[in-house]
Amino acid sequence: MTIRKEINGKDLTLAVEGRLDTLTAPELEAELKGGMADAETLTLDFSKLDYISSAGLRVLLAAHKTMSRKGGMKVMHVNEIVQEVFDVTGFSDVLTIA
Amino acid sequence: MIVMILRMTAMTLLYVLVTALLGRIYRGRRPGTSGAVAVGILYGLCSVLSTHFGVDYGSMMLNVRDIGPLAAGFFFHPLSGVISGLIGGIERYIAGTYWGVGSYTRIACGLSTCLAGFLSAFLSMRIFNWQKATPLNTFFAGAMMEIFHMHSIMVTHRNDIRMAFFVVKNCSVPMILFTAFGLAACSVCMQLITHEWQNPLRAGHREGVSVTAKFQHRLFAVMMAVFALNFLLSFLAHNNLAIQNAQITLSSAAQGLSSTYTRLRGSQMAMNARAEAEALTGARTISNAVRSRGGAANVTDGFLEDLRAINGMEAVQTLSGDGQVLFGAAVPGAKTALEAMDAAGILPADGATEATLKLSDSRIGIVIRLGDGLVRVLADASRSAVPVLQEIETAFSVYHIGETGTFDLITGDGRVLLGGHSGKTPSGELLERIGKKQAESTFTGAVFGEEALCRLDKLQSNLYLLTMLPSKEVYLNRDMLVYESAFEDILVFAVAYILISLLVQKLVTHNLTLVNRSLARITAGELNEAVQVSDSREFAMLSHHINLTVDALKDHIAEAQRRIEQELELARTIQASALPSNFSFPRGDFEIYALMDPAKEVGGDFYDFFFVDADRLALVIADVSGKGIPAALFMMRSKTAIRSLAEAGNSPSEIFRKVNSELCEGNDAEMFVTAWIGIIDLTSGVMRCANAGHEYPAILRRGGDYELLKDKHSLVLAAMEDLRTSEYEIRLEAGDKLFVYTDGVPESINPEKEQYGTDRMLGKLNGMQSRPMQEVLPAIRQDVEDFASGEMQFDDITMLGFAYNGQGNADKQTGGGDTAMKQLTLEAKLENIDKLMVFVDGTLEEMGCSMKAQMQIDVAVDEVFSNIAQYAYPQGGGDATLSIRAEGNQAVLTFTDSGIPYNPLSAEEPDVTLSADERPIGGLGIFLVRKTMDDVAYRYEDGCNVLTIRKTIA
Repeated sequence: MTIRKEINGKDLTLAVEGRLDTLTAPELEAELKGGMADAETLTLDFSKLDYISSAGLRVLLAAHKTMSRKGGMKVMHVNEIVQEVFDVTGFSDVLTIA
Repeated sequence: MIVMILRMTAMTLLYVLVTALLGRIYRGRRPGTSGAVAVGILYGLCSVLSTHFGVDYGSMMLNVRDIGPLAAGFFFHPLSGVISGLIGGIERYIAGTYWGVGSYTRIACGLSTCLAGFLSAFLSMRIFNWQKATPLNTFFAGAMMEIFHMHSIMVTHRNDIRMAFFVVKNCSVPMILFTAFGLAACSVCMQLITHEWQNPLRAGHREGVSVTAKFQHRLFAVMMAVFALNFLLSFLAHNNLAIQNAQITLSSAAQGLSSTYTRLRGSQMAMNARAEAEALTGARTISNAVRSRGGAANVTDGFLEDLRAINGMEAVQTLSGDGQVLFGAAVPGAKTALEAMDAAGILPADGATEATLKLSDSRIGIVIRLGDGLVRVLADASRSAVPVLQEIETAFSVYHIGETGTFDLITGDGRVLLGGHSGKTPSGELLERIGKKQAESTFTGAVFGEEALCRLDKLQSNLYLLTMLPSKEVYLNRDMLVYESAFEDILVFAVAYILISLLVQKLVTHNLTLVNRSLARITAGELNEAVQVSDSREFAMLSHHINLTVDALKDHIAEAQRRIEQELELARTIQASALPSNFSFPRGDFEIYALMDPAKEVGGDFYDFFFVDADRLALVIADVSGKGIPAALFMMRSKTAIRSLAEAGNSPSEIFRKVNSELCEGNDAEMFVTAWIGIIDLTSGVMRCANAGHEYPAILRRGGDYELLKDKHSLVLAAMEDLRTSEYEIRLEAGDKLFVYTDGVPESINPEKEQYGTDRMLGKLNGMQSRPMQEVLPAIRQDVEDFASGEMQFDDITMLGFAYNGQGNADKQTGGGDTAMKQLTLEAKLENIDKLMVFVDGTLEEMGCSMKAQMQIDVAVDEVFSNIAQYAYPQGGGDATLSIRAEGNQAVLTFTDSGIPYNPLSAEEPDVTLSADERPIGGLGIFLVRKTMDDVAYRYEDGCNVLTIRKTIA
């Protein structure tokens, strides 16, 4: 998994590529912990994300909780497999998916 | 001339001979200090000899003294050059001062010989870099030295430059040539002795020529061209100047002479007129005296003699009216003149009283009429006129034309009246010029035998003035100046040439050498070598760029290394997953265990075991020649071939025969495999085996010890076509055990280079005869490692142990319907997810799984395995096995772990309708698996959690 980070003022955008699973989720978690402190809004670009596991969902949920107290979190370009996971787990209703 | 050449050649040959002798003694080696001194003294003595046996040529003594120090320095040792230079030079000075040998040039000669020694030392060390000088170099060095020699003669005799020039002009060409050619001959001689001689006519290779040499050649050519041009221009200038000067000298002399002549001639004519007038006055006085005495007939001879003597006449006569001489007096020499007057018969014309007759040889005859007769007087008009030529000669004698110039008065028919060549006959060329009336012309010619610049002036009709300045004198100045400036130019150019060569060597060649040296180290693999040449901007940049390139290269290499390591690690995983790792079979009639430890990341060894049918188990161990990826690829081919042929029901020998021909096909890498196969019928214990060049199996019979089974070998597989294979049979009883291994076990070495050997192996096996194979194999592995005590493992170590428990312990075999099952056992820890994923993805791809299904299965595997890893073994250290098989269009994945019993399906389903704030973090994993997979089933059997997942993959 690779994470590309882009900061535009108070807007933090992370583009996640590859697989977000048990092993890689901690990396995203660490990245978010570092980035969210200064950010007002968070955008996650999943256009190149292959799949997400429950470990990844856990990180998303935590991030969502943190950002909902600030300017909010948005998930973009979700592929079919990831969307299905979001649907099955009810995350589609929780997250802002653009 | 010829004698001189022969004698000089002889002197020069002496040097060549000495050089050849010394060259043979040292044979290309450089003499030590004492040797250098000896060589120096020898060459010094040669120089002394050369001084005292000089060759007499044009009253000069020629010698080739300077070859000594030059040859010594160039070919042997700088010290030799200095020593022989000092000996030759000092001796020359002493000989010149005390023994009168060539004392005129003693300072210049002594000095230049000393200097030749130092020069050869300097050139040898700094320009030729301690190499032996080449013939061309020595030729020019010798010529330079002699030019300096000649120039110093001119410089040391500034007050006597003509003499010095005379010496130089005579000596320079032979001495320069003989010294130069002598040295070149010595050099050729040296090269022939050391076999370095190369025929210069055969062009050398361009690569072999150094930058310095090329630079020197070009520089030399340019300097020669400049020198030639300079020489030509200065020669022309001096030449014109000399001719002009000579012409001015001649013309001013000619003008002076002409005007002197004209002046003398004018005064001569005036004097003639005066003499005539005096003679007439005298004659009138005499006639008056005669008249007053009474007339012509009344005088006496004595009276007339008195009159003559008083008036200084030559003759006085009185004549009668009809011309008869009456009385007379005359000097003895006047008779002829008087007769001439008689012959002329002059008489004053009617009415006139006087008549005058000019006679030749400057006499004047005068006749004066008296009343009764005539008075005749003969006067010597030349008496007062000094002879002309003599006067001219006297007047001309004060003139000098240059130092050796001459002048001559020449008549139209070529008689020399007076001058430096009176009495000689001029050449026809001059007469021709006179004939053509080419007066006032300047020309170069040999009028009186000697070549001279000549000028011809016409003084009066039939009289010419020839002024000449010998060519020797005309061109003396020019020659002196040209010689001296040529010498100076050559010396200046030589010094400039040496300096520029040195600079190029220091600033360019030296640096290039340093850069090349560093590059050579880098090429040899020393990537930490840094090029550090920074004494000029260009070289600093070059060094910098090379260093940057090397750094970039290092990074690339490190990057490639990392990638290769990663790929090797992956390959290892793939290879490991290709070997069966589930050793637990749900039947009790045998026990099996195997392990493989590759020497590099991937190895060429493999083991395999599988059921050929319900009761027959095949055991395989093999070793592919070589190591690394190629061996691993060949191993995969071999393994697949053996298994598929065995599963097709072939006998061991058939299997090997067919595998052999299959592997021989396209075995371009010339690899081969040693292999052992045994197919045991578990119901009877009969095992049919074949051995293709593999290690002897170790067999343990109940009640006995492990011993090697010296079975019959065939040739290794893949070595040659049409392998003749054979097979044998062993019958195992319950409790019998079989241990097969690859050569990595017995051939492991310790730091003393001793091999582990089969004896140690058998000993260790016998030590733990009753232990299960699962313990025995790692123990052997450990034993081998202990034995090696740190020595690097250079071969794969692979073992397979089999224990036959007999039919009594047989159970029913399970899982017959699974096709193409793959399985991987891993330690249950999160870090292993990657390896697991490689296995899963690889297997699913083989099955033709869709990308989406594969991603979903990946998520499921991730979830299940991470659950096992995190919760199944609270103390850690347990394994988990994943097997994957295809069933119809479904993939069936079975996770087996022996951790704490736990049914994940019993967990409560999370409430997915909760809002974000209400949701607990976690608990979604197994839910996700259930939602995305077709079927998830759990059972707990034989102390294991078994979770089976089905997913439609196509």
